[in-house]
Amino acid sequence: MRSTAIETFLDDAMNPVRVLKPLPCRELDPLPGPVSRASLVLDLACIFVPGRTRALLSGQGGEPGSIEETVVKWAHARVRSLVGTLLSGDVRVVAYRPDAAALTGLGPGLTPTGDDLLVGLAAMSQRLVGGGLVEARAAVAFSTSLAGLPSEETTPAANRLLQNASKGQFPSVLASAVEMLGNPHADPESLRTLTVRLAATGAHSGADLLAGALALVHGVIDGEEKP
Amino acid sequence: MSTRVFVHPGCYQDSARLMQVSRELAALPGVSESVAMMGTQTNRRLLADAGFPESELAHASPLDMIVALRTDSPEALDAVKAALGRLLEGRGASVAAGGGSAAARRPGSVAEALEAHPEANLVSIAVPGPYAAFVAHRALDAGRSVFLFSDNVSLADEVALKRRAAGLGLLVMGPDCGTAILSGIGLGFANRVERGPVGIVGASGTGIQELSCLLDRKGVGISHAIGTGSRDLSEAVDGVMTEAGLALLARDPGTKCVLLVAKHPAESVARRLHGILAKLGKPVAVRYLGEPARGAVDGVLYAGSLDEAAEAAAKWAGARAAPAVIETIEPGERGGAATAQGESRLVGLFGGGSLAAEARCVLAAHGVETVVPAGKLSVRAPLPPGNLVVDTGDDAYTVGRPHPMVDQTVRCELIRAAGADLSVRVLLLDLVLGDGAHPDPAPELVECVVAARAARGGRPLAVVVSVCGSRRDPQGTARQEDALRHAGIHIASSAALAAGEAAALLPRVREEVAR
Amino acid sequence: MSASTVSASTLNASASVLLEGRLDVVHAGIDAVAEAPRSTGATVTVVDFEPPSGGDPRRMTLLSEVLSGPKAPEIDAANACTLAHLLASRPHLVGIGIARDVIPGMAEDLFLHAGPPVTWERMCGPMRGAVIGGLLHEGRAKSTEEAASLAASGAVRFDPCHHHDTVGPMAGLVTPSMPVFIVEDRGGERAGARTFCTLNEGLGKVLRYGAFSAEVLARLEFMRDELAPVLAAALALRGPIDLKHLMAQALQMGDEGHNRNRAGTSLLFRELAPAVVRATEDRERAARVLDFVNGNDHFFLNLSMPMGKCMLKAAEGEPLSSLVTVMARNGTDFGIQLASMPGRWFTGPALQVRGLYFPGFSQADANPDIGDSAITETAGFGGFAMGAAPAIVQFVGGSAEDALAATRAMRRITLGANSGFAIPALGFAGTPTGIDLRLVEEKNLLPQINTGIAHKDPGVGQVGAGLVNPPWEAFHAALEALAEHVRAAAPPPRA
Repeated sequence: MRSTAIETFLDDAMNPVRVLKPLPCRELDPLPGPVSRASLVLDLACIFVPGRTRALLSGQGGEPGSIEETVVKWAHARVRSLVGTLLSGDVRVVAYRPDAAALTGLGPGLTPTGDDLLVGLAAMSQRLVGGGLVEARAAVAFSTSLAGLPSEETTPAANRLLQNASKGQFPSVLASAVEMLGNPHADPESLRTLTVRLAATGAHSGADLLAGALALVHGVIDGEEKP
Repeated sequence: MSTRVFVHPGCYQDSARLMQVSRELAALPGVSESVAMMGTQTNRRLLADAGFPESELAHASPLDMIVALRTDSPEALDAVKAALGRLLEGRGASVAAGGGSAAARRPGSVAEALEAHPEANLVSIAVPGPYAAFVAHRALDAGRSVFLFSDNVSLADEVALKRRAAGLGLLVMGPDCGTAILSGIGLGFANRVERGPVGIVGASGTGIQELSCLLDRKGVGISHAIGTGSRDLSEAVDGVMTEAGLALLARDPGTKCVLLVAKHPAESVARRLHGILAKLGKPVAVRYLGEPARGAVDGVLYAGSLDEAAEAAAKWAGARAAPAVIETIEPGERGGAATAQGESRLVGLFGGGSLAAEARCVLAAHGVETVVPAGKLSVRAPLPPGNLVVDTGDDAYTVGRPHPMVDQTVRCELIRAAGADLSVRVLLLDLVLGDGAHPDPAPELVECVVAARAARGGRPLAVVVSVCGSRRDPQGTARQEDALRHAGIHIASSAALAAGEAAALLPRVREEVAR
Repeated sequence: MSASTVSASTLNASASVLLEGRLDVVHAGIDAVAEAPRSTGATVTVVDFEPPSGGDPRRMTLLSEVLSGPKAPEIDAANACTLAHLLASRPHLVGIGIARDVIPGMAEDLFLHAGPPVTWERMCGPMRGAVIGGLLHEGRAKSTEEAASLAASGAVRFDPCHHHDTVGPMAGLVTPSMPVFIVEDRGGERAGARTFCTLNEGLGKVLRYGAFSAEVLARLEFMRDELAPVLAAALALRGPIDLKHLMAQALQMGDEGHNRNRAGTSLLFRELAPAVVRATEDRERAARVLDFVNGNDHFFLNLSMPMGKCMLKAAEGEPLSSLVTVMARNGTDFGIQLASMPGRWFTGPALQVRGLYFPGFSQADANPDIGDSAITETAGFGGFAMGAAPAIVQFVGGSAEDALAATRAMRRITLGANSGFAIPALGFAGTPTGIDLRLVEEKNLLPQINTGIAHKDPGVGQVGAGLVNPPWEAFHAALEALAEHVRAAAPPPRA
């Protein structure tokens, strides 16, 4: 039974484990498993997606008129734009800057939501290069744009994450989940476990990182092009 | 309906706490919306767009926590202020270990202390060596830098700690780091000096102390003194924290020039550091204790003494030249008639290895060859021959005892032993003051010297002490110097100067006439 | 030799904070070293430092690996999930069945017992007495001697209750024809999972304390032939009972669910009484059943225990998790299990309980710690909710403040708190829940268990109550295994 009790729990009140640690980062597996659009579709059906992630992916969340609603709306719009740029194969760093700059420092958290979205997106874009679903140089251009973001615009913790992401290093909980997405040989149970674990990281960082990664997955599946 | 913004500067709160703040404030009566976010540019724009007063937002930075509220009454606002105060002090709704009387109870571990005090930004560790690495890693787990006073930490552990810290952008100052001064706050054994433009990075605690005091005597303050631990410049550790410290000072707007002090860096490390120093972008002077002066190389000054390094920094800081403190030695007091070799010698008794190395270097330059006795000197056996320089901070003397900077017992015993040996004509000592050191060392030292002199049947014993102290040190530097002076003890403001005077006081060795 | 990975922008992230004018120090170790920051105006918080893991260097290295090593954040995340599953579970009493029919893996020649695996030779007095009583009850033997030799012969096998999703207090003996409560998880991801426990016989001379007299056997028959069927029918009429809901209320009425169960029993009585009356036409039978429940202040224990087991079963199986999912004793050994390695026991000797003895008895009469009831502390109540049951402290000779202090102390070794089990005296804070092996080792603080004390001779019964801890050996062994498990953790599968 696909119960939502753990969803409710992770969505609800405080995460019981206060993760005060900065997340150690690692590179994605250099020998990526195959990734196909078809298996991405199947994966979306079985992974764990908490409420916060869904809100960011849909652009709808929070009480009407609240700051939270605005954050979700702004974030959604910018991420969608970045996904479009990535999938159109644009190799100019400058094409990604405005959206990335708008996202950095956006929202609540010691690593603000916008920065987590950028890092999740970067990780997924690197993974999908392997399946030919994202143009390699576009992914590189996007990562490079992260390195150039002014450090005073966001928190030190987020800066560290962005710098690592620009060098292809991602929090290991994110890397593990991203490596398995879209792999037709991965078993659904492990994939679900990894996404649950990612979602459980931090107060909401995990959910935000996941949203960044899934935004690109949705973009690939829906066949989005830059408007 | 009123909107209100509170900005808490430098407020380190993890995301779970931020969420808790938002949620708990929103639940208060009369609060229609509350949100706690870090003061990034994007968030400030967001809040301004949402109608929160821009003027209040303008001063926030990404290191500050903003709490933005919509309330419908002034009473609600008061409740919010009270709740916010409580939340930021960490007294939330969960069972804290200690609960109601939390204030009275000490946290049982570093991890818990950091959870209860999220605003803490440094962990200072002085636990026994075998436990120190464990505790330091826990500090790094929580994203805090470490001042690691403990020694007896394995080299492998040191390398692992420093590499991990470097990757996280944190400092591990140590192990075996005796001194640091950050933002005017002393750590370990530190002198109370003014803030100023000189930055110091040091693998030698006493080296840092003497530099800071020499600068203090010239009226120059320091920005920060970053300790790296004694082994940082070894080949295995590869200068990780020295490099990190230099990078920090290079970027620090309050630091105008930099001093580096260490003992015997590994060749490869010194070479690599030279490259870094040459491109630092600020004037740099280096004192590798025990080595002779090399002058300026690629713009980097390799000084021959701590005095020289301090002098250079003072000049860069724009200070007027100030005379060094040194009691003029009357000609009559100098050595007296020449004696046969071995009949008059010098014994140096130091509280640490750094100033001992400095002294040996200067003595050698004055033609006084010194020897470091192997093993511990016994006060019951006769002292080995030659001009001795002893580091009483060495493991041999300190096992099971307090540090010699705090407890002078061992040194006093050795002073008496040296005094009883009539071939000893000059005693050379260092006296390091500051926080953490002995609260009033001069009288004890004087008593010792007086007793030693009394047992010599009138044979003179010259005593020279270098006083490492600042104007504001708690022992009262001037008072300590007075006490020494009144006992007929020569004082100098640095180990190098004291060594020079000691050399001058030593009777010349009579040439052996070939038979 | 690799150069450091320091870069200016990395440093900008954190160490530079130290140069910005404010130093707030946490200090551990020699106090003289804290003098300098204090005198120069920094805030200094001093730690009451204790060497972790008893100061053992090898263990400290392992502990550092699982607390601070590269996989530590994954362990944290695994623990967060484990705790989430635990808190999301919704155990309900759904029925009563016969052991052989409902307990997985039950067989005619199998007896289940409390604690980790143990052989007849190593069984303590009360457990042997229970086995003898069980054999008599099942009709496999006609005399004590026959039962004893049957037990020693290997004709009957023994297995821990825990291997069969079951728990039992004290000797915890379950024989094939005994009735057992059926508790089902109706929430969370693991919905549908079931756990089991026998019904509580009452106090004094009872099977679980090793008694096997005719009185004991007669009572067991009553429970099998009258009590259980009537309660089962009553449950069928009333519908499943939400046990967490009852427990939460009981905790606010002076119970803690291990040593004090009076409120829980009363609430249960309320839930069942009308249905009991409706379940049988024989009024006297209904009265006997209700009298039985009413006369046993610990009747609810045999529901709080499988409830705890159900919560912890939901938490099992998460790789890398260092959460403790089982604490159980057989009167000779004490065993624990971790969420990441279900079914694997880590044991040490069961210790003597420190407490107060009933008049006429002393420590010389006591049996070492015994029973599966430590599942209550493992699930975050019982001794971990002592602050809710100040009356308990009478047994341990302390003050009400001690009870609160004990609960606060347990918060230091748990991952979180169960806000569903709120303790009024602690400001409605939730009970400390989710024992993290790593925290136990780091803080040198063992879980505290409230328990009854059995007489070491079979058939005498309870002689006191008090506090006891698990043995360090069990936790040390678990730490070794966890470190190895973490090191061996496979990367995700790929083609």
